[in-house]
Amino acid sequence: MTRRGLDNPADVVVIDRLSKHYGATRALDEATFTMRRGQLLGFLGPNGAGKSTAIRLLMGLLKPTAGRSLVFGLDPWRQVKEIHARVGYLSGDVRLYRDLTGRQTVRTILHARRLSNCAEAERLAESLRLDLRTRVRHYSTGMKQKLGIVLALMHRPELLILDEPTAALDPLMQQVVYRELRAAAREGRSVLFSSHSLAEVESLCEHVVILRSGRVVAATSMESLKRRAGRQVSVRLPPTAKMAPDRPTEFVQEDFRNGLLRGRWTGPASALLNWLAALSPEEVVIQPPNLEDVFLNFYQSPADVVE
Amino acid sequence: MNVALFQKTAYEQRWLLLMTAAGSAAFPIIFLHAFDAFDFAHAEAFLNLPFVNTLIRALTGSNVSEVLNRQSLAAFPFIHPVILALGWTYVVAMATRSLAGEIENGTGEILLSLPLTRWRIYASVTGWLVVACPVLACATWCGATIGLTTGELRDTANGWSLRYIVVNETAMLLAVGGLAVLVSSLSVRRGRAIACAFGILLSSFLLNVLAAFWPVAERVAFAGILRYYRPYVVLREGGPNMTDLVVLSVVAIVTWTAGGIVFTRRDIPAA
Repeated sequence: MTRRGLDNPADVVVIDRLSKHYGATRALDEATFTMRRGQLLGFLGPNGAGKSTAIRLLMGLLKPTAGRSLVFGLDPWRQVKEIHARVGYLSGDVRLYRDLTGRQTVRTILHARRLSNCAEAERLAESLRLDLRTRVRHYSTGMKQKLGIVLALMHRPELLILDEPTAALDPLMQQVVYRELRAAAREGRSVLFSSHSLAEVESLCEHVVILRSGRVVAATSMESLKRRAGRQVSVRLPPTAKMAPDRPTEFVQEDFRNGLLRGRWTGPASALLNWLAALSPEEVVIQPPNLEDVFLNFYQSPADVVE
Repeated sequence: MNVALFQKTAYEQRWLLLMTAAGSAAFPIIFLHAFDAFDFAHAEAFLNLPFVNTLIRALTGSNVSEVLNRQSLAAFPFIHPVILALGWTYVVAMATRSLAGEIENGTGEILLSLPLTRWRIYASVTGWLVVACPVLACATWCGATIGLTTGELRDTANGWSLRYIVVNETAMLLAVGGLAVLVSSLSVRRGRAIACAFGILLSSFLLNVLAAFWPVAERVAFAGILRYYRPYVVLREGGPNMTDLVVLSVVAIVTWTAGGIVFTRRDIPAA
């Protein structure tokens, strides 16, 4: 993802050197990335990385200390009304009106949005197996999360901003949410999806933004990340090989012991095969890229990747 | 004003308002019936003692001669601390629940993700005060009227003569409400907002009481809201005191507007 101009109509969300400071604490520090229409964008980072702050800035709940953000080309702080008409939002910690039933909550929010058709809300509630007749005070955490998802999706917004939407859901319900989000993206709607679960983002998103300590350390496609991750390669060399062979620059050696060479290959597959053939190995194991290592690397090291 | 949000607030507040209004109506009935057995002739000598007279003036804002007659006694429930406490408690509870309470509970995020300006959200959730304050004032008036018509005082006073006090009480409650809304909009913790609002109100009450004894307090007494809530003066003049009404209305409008300005410019932190 490259930094483009702030007025590209294909960009649903543009964040340009956006910062939010609380005294000396930099919750978000010069974050920059863009999100295109119809994109499923994963927002990754450990707790306290600044994901929720970035989301709250996009929702106009916080005023930025510096920098700029645009949603549909509009300023989230000054033009909330226009933006929120096109956005569905789920906060990280869903809180609802305890005295209302699920259905009363849905109707209140729909009426506040000057809408009256509950059909989509009913469909979503049915998909998520949520009983709308019950009072919210009797809902479990998972049920509140489901109602929050219904409220965010029921008006079929052009942009969904979801802060850890599956945190309190069981795996079955997580799949239902993933299906809804994929369907939304297929219809050309955009989904900004925050999570600290790598597997979740990997299975759902095409693009990813990784935050660490308030800074964007990666804003790229999943494919690019996988390429960066490289393949895990284990090669058992013939007993005659006493020392590690010369290796190309694409191979990062991790271990060589008892004739077993282990490492990571970041180059093209054809070059790997050519090199392996020259080694005449007894056994070769090539594993798919291990994204977890890459993410851990991002979380721990200062390396930044912004495309 | 967003009708759906106003209705939501009304739905949440209905029982509390009903109970407070019932209390505000019941108290004057009981209170005025308790005065049925009051011996005015023998009490007058005691009540005209300088210290007691000052005390009465501190509590009511009027001299004993004005207070202690059968007609003006009907206005006494309107300045009784129980009625003041009921009205203030409701108004402060409502105002702090609407802003600081919503932020503290996290439900404020639902409101602030709606396609509405913050001003509109603010007006929709605090606008209920415009309904609640007259209801509470009318409830006190209804109670006083019932107490008068069913008790021994029915020959000397009637509820209709108290009608202008309702206007004064409504204005006072709206001023308190505006103040509480301002405090609430500045806070993210409801408990803190309640403590702060009650601190201001109790200071106002104390200032009003001290002004009768202490010249220094008298000089700054104009700063207290209760200075402009004078049911006996309304009763004596046979109509609302326009200066009092203007001051209370200005306080209500200025504090409410200031609360809105704060709310539209502030960060909304996570719950």
